[in-house]
Amino acid sequence: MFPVNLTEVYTSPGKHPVENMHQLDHSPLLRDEHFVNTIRPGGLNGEKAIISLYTQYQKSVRTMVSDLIKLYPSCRTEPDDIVHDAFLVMIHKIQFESTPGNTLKSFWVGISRKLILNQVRKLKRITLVEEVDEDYGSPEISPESLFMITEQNEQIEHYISRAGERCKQILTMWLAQFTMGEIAEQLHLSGAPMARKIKYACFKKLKNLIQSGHILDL
Amino acid sequence: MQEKDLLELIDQYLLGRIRPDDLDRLEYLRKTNPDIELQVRQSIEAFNVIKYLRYKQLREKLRQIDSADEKSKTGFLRQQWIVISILIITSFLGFWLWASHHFDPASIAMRHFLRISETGIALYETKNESVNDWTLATMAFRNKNFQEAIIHFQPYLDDTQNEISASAKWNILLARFALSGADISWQEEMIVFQSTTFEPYKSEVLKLLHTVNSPFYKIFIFRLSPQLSALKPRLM
Repeated sequence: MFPVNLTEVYTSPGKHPVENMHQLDHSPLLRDEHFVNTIRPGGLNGEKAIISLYTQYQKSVRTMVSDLIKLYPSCRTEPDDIVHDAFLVMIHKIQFESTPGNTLKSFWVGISRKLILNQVRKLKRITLVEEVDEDYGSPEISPESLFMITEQNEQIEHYISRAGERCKQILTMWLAQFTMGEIAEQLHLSGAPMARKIKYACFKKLKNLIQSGHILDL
Repeated sequence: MQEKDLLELIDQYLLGRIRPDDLDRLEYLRKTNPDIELQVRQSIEAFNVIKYLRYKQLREKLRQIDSADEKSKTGFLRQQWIVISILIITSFLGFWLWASHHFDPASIAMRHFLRISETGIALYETKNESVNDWTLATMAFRNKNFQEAIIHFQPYLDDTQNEISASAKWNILLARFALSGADISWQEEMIVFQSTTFEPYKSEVLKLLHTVNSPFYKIFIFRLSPQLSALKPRLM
């Protein structure tokens, strides 16, 4: 066997040769690709990458979003909330939908802009003639449709609280694409089969709670 | 299809990891079997609740990062202020110490004495007479024994050579200044000396009087010194 020096040449999952690992610190596209490739499969590394991504860009994105909000005085949402909402939408898109074509920072700012415009449109009840710039993320984002079921918040809180703490942990970890082995390790379970068993039981419990809620609503 | 396989298929569908052929199979099952359609719908509903929970937790985590960032920023600013305050206090103390030393009458006298005394010695050494007393006077001045220096310089005031008497007078005036500061009689004598003497003493007198009348000298000698002399015993 030949000795392999891993620090010399590294081929990223996107097949881009990285001659020096420090390139990741200087080239935004390579760094973004690394983020996307770590976040997409999820799990423990994915969670770490999410936090790392947020820490990496949050200051510059917040500054840009604050400047954007100034252009729309009718938008009353705090820049922090827009930044958080847009970040969550971006993570959702990375994990479950398409890969952003541009840098993650511009993708994040683009989503933020879309959220601001959505709010302005709602508040002013006007139709924007100008189309959203294609460079800043895809325009068909509707965060409410993704996960912010605001009208049913109380009901959801009720289901969640009744599902139990352990179930909450398992189900959110499953959604974050932790493997059953990782879930078992994190929650000190006997192994992956046990984690899978508990996850199915919890999911069933949640479904039943929701169904019983619907019956009560009727 | 077994229940376990169906659940696994729905899981893959919810997580967006389902393969195209499995997706076709599931779509077919949903269309043909109302129970499976119901099960998938219920699963989507439950999945949305989990999504809500996950993003709520994630949002909380982002807020924690923001507040930690804010705290570290405040801490950094506080540290900066402390460092700046210490620097300001240290530089003020340093300047004050330097100025108190610089404007001390003994230091001023020493600075002016050193320049002129060398000329004096050179002048006197050309004569055949003993230079011992002059050397003693100079040494006493350099050792800051101003009283003794005055006594040794006194005889040279009546010297026939103008240069020697002027140098002696200058040194005596400096020694008096070092001992008791710039009192009125000293200043009067300096003005008289300046009007009667020649260069370089003339310009040196003007320089010294200029220093004595400068605001810095007045601040450090007339205002701070008495306060400090009152503080000194307490500090000791």
